[in-house]
Amino acid sequence: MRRTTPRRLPGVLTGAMLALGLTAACTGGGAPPVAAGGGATAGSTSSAAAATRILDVYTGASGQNTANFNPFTPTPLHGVQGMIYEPLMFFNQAKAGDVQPQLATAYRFADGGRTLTFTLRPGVKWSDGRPLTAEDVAFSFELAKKNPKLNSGINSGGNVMTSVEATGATEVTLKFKEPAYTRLWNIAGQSWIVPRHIWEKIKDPATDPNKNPVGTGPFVLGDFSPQTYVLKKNPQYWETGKPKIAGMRFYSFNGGDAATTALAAGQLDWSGLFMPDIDKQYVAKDPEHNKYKNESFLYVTNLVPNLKKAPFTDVAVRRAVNVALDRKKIIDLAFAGLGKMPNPLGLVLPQYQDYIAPQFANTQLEYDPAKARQILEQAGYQRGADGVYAKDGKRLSITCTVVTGWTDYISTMQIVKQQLKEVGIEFKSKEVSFNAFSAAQTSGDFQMHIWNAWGGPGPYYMYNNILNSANVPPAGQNQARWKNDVVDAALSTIAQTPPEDTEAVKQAIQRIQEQVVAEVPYIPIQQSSALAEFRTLHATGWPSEENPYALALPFYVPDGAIVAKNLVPVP
Amino acid sequence: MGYLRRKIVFYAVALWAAVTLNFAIPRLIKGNPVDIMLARAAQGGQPMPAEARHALELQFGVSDDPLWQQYLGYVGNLLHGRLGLSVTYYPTPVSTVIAQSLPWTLGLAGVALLVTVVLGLGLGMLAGWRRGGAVDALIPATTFLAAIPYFWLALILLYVLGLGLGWFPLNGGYDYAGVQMGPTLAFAASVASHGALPALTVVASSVAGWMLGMRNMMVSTMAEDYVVMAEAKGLSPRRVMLAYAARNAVLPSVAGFAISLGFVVSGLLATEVVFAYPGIGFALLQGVQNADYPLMQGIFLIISLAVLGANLLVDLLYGVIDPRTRKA
Repeated sequence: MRRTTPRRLPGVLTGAMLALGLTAACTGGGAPPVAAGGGATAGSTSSAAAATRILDVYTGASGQNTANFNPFTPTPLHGVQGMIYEPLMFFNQAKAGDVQPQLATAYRFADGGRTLTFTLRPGVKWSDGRPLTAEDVAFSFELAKKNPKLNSGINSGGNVMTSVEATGATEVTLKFKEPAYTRLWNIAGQSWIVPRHIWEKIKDPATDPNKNPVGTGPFVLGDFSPQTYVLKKNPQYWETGKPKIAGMRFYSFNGGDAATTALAAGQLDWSGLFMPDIDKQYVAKDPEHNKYKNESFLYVTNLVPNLKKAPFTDVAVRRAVNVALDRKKIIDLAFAGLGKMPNPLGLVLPQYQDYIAPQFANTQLEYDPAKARQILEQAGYQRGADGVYAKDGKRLSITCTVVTGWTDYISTMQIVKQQLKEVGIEFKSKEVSFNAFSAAQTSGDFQMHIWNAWGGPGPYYMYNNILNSANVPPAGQNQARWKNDVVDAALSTIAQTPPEDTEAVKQAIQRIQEQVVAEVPYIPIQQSSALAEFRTLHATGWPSEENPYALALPFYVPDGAIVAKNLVPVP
Repeated sequence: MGYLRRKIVFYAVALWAAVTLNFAIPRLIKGNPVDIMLARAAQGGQPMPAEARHALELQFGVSDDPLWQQYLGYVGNLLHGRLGLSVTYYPTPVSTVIAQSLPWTLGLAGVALLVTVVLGLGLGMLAGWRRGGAVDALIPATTFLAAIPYFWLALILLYVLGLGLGWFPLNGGYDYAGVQMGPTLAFAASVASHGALPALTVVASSVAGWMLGMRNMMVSTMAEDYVVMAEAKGLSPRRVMLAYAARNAVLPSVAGFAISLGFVVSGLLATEVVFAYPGIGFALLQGVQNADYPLMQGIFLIISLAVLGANLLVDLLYGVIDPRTRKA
């Protein structure tokens, strides 16, 4: 079967969260402006029958749905996080530095980042008609802090939050053991606010399915069955005049093929499927309405060397492999030309262009097989009779692990094998199940593998995820198992620096870049190709290159909800 | 009565073995649910903070207890009818997951199996009765269909009959957007129209085996003395075919039918994937992919019970239709 979705769609764990922290990039200093405030709003004023049409959405769900509307569980139904329950702020990853107020209208740090105060939006109502209070917000954070099963490091602000209190009718104050600047994204952007009057009666918030969800979000539960469910418009929503669409129906398919067929047949209004030949398979079926957006700055696909294992303990080998790859060819052949050229800094561009150190402003990844051989020879490798380099009697042979069925990666393996053979490095690929692959990631039982590195709203996040020695598995995503004191110190500096001090943050990011370029802890292959398909037949107002107000990917939270509430039905 | 007692003791031992294997097999699969969930999160664009691992381990009850303790706990829970919480669908109980998907599979696979068996045995009987006749000529065509990999056959039929000609719906168990689930005629009609194409593909690809087996048994049975005797007595050809030849020729197929009943419960994984059919085979696949021990154990248990139950039934039935086995 052609693999279409599993890697890019979050499969099982859509809802959950992100990395740690936030940098200056997100805020541009201080609190974001107060948006048009709104009390409870008028109901729908739209007239036409179009306004009652439910849009059909596929978020990557497979198998049956089970009624789980608990936003704190690892796998609630799609839409529960964002569409029913809302965060305090929205961090737009589609546009660097864009932070939008949601349930909170402003935040401010004090006490060197150890105190964080949110000002709440007045007049917000729960879908049962009761008003949102500062106690509700404090209770939502307290819930995760008190319950170890829910303490995933997001709602709780990790283990560093010491207290949370409603300090006024519309004010909530959180206190921390250490500066929480980089945790703002988790706390404000990924923590779901629930009504106290309902949740204080729930006996076990970790396992309760919360069958009758009451939230502040733009949508409420319509009907539910194990095969499909509807989230319909919340007429009391605080943002005046939104949402305009009547609701969304969520579908589940048992694999990418069935979903692709449904999309091609015009059954879906919105999906986030990867298709190698999207113009032919999808756009050509209805060029007037079938549109898509390539969110190309979200992640970087890397060859991940295990720096604890030979031969990758030797930086010369990493550098040689890095210059031996013709990435253009790999992107064209294995990624259908949809990926973008990566860069040696491990940043997603052009998103974080401003953070590039001046000396790397024009640095590109090289493709130079002769240079690769030269690097190896300088490091003492000699080419053997079989054309493969060797040192101290050991042939330079690499085994790269890849998840079986992930066809674009497997094609990549074949091309890399050819290209490295020309240089004099033996490259073998080993296909294993996702389960075995994830177990090996945790145990470190691999020589090299291919995997994506994701970031967040700011360059700090990807660096922290994959370069911080504190995030070596099992703790996090530093799959290369890299430990570099300069990098660790720079990341710690950012965590202690108020985001307003953009210059200090930039300098720290640039210190990391020097280390990344010199040490090559990861070997980038391509910059992301996450496709979002949407039809303009029944609704318009989708994110575009000109107006990237949120990621267009339906499975991304809370971006999916932001898009949903901004859509306009076509009469 | 001795026959019955022997059988029941045998099945009790088989049940214990099955329950124990259910416990052991999932644990031989590499990977654990927390690793998998964190890897999925990282790959879905939302890597989790370091604290998340501990929280997930607490939620899923990842256990470092010795295996024998886990085994005792497992058997104890089974005796109380507790199957635990699914990891894939956390915090939904395994019994809910099974209850939601099993009816779909029973319906689709049950109907498909019945149609296949009746059609296969009937055609096989006719083909054997008139060797070289019109029905016999069907055999190469049906074996050709059986030789095509099922997955591919299903995709082709879906593409041609569903997407191309638009005769059948493309996916799902019923029209999710247009019909409410409930005891209504509209719902039943929708289920039937959505199940037709998946059932057709199953029948097309599996009818040949039944047909060929029945035909060959017919041919050898017809050479038996009692058939010649029946013909010599001047019985009608119809009576000879049905009561003398076919009745004896069908015996091996009855055993085959019992084994096939197991597949009815375990689901038709390929069918469920291609047609996005909401059955139990896909639930099992989800369980395997997520190292969801409780779900796998629950589904395996149901399958074991169904297969053992069906075999017991057929064993007892065999005693009635074939008196020789009672003596054995």
